[in-house]
Amino acid sequence: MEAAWVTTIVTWLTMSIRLSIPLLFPSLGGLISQKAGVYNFGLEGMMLCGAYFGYYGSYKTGNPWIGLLMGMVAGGLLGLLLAFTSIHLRVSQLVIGLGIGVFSLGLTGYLFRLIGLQAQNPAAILFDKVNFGFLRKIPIIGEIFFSHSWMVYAAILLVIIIGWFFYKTTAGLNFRAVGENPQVAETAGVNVIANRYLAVVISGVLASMGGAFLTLTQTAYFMENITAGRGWIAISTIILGKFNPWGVLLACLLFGAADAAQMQIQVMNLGIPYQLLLMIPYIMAILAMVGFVGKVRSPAAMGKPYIKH
Amino acid sequence: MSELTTPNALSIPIKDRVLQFARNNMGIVSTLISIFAIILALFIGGILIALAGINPWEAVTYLIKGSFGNRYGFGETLTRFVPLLFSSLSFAIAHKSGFFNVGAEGQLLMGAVGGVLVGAYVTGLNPVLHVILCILSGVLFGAIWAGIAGLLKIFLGADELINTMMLNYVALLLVDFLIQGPLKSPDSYLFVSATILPSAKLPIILSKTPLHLGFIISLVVTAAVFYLVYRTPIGFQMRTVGANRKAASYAGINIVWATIIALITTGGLAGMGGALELMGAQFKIVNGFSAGYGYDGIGVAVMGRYNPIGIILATLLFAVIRVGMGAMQRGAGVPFPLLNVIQGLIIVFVIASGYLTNKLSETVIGGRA
Amino acid sequence: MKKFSLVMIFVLLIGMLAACTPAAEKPADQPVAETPAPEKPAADAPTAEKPLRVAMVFNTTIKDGGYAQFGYEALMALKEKYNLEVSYQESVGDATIKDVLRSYAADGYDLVYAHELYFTEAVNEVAPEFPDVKFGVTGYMASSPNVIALDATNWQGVYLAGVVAGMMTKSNKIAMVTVSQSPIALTMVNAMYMGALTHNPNVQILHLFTGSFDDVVKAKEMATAAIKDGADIVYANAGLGTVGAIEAAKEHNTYAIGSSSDRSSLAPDLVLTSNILDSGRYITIAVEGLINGDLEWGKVYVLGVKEGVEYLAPFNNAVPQDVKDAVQQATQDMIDGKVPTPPSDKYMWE
Repeated sequence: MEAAWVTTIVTWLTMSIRLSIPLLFPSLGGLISQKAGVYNFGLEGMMLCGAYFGYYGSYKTGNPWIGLLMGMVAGGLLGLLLAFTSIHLRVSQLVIGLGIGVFSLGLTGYLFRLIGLQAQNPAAILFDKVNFGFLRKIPIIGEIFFSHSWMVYAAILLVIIIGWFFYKTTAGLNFRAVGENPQVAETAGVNVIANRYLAVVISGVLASMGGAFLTLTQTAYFMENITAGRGWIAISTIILGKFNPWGVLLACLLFGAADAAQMQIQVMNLGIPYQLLLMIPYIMAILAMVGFVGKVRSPAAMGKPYIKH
Repeated sequence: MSELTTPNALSIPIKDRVLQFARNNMGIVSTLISIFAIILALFIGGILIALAGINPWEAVTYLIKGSFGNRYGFGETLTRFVPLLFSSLSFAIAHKSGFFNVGAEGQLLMGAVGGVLVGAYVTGLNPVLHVILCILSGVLFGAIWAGIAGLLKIFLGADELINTMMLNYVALLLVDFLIQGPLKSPDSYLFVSATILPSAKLPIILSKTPLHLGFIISLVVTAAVFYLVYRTPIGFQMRTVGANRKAASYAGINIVWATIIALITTGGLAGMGGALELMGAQFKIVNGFSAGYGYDGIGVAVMGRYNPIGIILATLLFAVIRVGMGAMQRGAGVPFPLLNVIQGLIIVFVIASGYLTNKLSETVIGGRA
Repeated sequence: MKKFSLVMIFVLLIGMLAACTPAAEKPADQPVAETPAPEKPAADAPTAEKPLRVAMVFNTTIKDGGYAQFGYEALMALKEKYNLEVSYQESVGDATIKDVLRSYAADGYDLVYAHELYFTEAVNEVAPEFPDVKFGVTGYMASSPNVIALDATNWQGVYLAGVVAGMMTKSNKIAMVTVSQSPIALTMVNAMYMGALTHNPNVQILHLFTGSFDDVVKAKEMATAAIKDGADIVYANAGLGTVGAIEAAKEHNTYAIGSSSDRSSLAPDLVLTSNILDSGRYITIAVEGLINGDLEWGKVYVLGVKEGVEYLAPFNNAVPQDVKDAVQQATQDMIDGKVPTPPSDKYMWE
């Protein structure tokens, strides 16, 4: 048997990973979009749609994969809207993101209400946890690393893929150029508009996966505003992660770890006011920003609409 | 482009006439385009409402009546206007000075805290003095809260977008903590702050409505702020720093000083908004004190294109929507989430219509309006 | 110059729209007596031809599976039964509650009911401005003759749940997940403690709060943390998060006790019972009292187990007979007044 403090640490680490994933998906999405030079402030709204349609698809068809697909389509469509308004209409990316957020909050809340007002809402079918067999039974390591849903591992894999894509492939280099210096990229033959569209749509899909993660692995029930602001925190983790997928992973883990720590401290009943504990992730983010040497460099052309000549 | 010289009006083709009208009256045209966008959004919203089984005309009538068609609604709209205007001014000034202050939500709350400290615990003052002190306290607290992020930016190069955003969450939690403990009202066992003394309350300026003096103050302050930014040397310095830091420092402008003034202004404005909301409308701090004023303020500032008239109009629009939505649910039974959908549509359409305006003004004037 | 014309257009538009609408909302079928304030209608006692107009205000969404939803459903049931004209507004924040109350009252509603504890003071502030309108609130104060306050004890049901938990726990650790650490939450936690103590002197309560009314996932994580710490019964009363906490219990094969409504369908084998709060009763009492004229206004009514407002849902198969009997006894004790109100300022075991 393990000592009590070991259980606490193990629980804390496992929870940290689990709590960081709903941040990781939208953060990676926002990262891709921003690398291409477009702010995606609609992450929260896209997450919420992913959560709702994931829930809806799963309970209606009994198959969580259908739910996930529906959620991803919803996120992609919102991404398309964001792309169109930001790239072609060249309007304020901040405000359109806010608008998408409010719209999604209302849409998902309303559709959820249309299901009906009953005592118990229908339950979505969740994804099963990955069965690692004997690996899961290893003390400590088994719980921390082998007890998660497939989406957790998919998210980590995404970090690796994105890192490889951006820094080790020509396509990735072109992509980054679109965000750094679109004029030069265009003359070099890269289709700036197409790349930006792709980036934003992908970011919508990823963000919605983050939302679907909530309703297809964490809880079988949708609730209005289930994402509770995670999409906004994701914006901070992108900057905190210095616009780099590994940095973003670390930033999300930071937030997840602080949130999990706050819960553990409550469990241990140390009498600290809970608001102070809940502040920890945010203060850590501020400190981390200051702690890093040098400024955070965003892609030079971020937020600036690109006008083709 | 050619001047208007033809004596025979009938010989000018319609298209040219329209373009000439647009060129001379770009302001009106852009407003009309925005209004058209709102109507379009409401139209789509109306379809959704009709699908929900509610008469859309009736619903929109309630929207209008509830927000400025009757006396109380009119007053209510202008009351909601006040904190929204301040937070959008805050964002606009910061933007003009070259940084992103998305922390108005938190600065507004801290301003309310400042207001409550003076308003509820300092006794024996005459009303005028008490009100002034409360406002100053609110400005101070708001400025300090913005200053935290600002100083981190100036001296340590930390990005202020994320810091001001984080400080919003910290402020929310801090206020939650304060109203449960140190600032908890002695009279109530619920988690609310102490109520401010009568001498700190702002008088109502339109009887039988919630409209208070803060409305007048907000308009005066708007004028004052834009005077500061556009007509004073320090304002010029702030704007120059905002436009191009390198050029500013070559021109001999003290960047640190200009940024500090900008910070005090941006945080102080949001703080003042919070204090005025406290002193004129709510009189105590509760959970849910700020109904998202800080974040809406950003949308307002952008929609208003960072100029005073535009901001005032955009603020009015948002306030009308807020109050009108409530009336829509009360009068026509439109479910609340559907109201959010319509609000989202309005924001998206209005901001998208900016494209049309820009395109038109580029064609007509050769530049942006 | 351009900006001036801009303003002019806007003012013109507003003026036009304002001119097209009447200054005050007057319901057409109601005789309007001359009163000093044009917005105040003459609210007579409801007559046969004129339907009673009832308005209800909620702090949250009406689809919360519990508190607000029951209130809403009760309102709709009353509408059917008595042919009322009803209206409701949801997600009303503390910043705007007074405006909403005033708008309803000025609009000629006979009963304006605020279904939220934190609206109590607002209702009592607004009520004197409209002496002909009846106000109700799910709260603790009725300082004006046209106000009525109704609420549950909010702890009696938890006490019964405590009896069950105290007897069923093997690890002697019971987890309670709530939204906050408010006085009401503390009362509940202490009630659970008291209830558990009746049959189990060694019990320990682990109180966790999410800080959020609607974060389902957070509540689930809190419950998970408590279960990992050794709690083998989870009691959840965390707003929308209740569902999440029960899901955590389900995942770890731990017993749970629900709240607000019957949560047994979430995990039939593990949800021992639920602390049901019939929050639709308040509006029902207020409306029926108004119609029948047999309710005393200007008073506070606290309802509990005795009035059938708080009670436990049917037990599942895991609950043995002796526990059921203990609950029966505890219920009777409370009705007889033998159980004191738990403290709300600190934990009883400190």
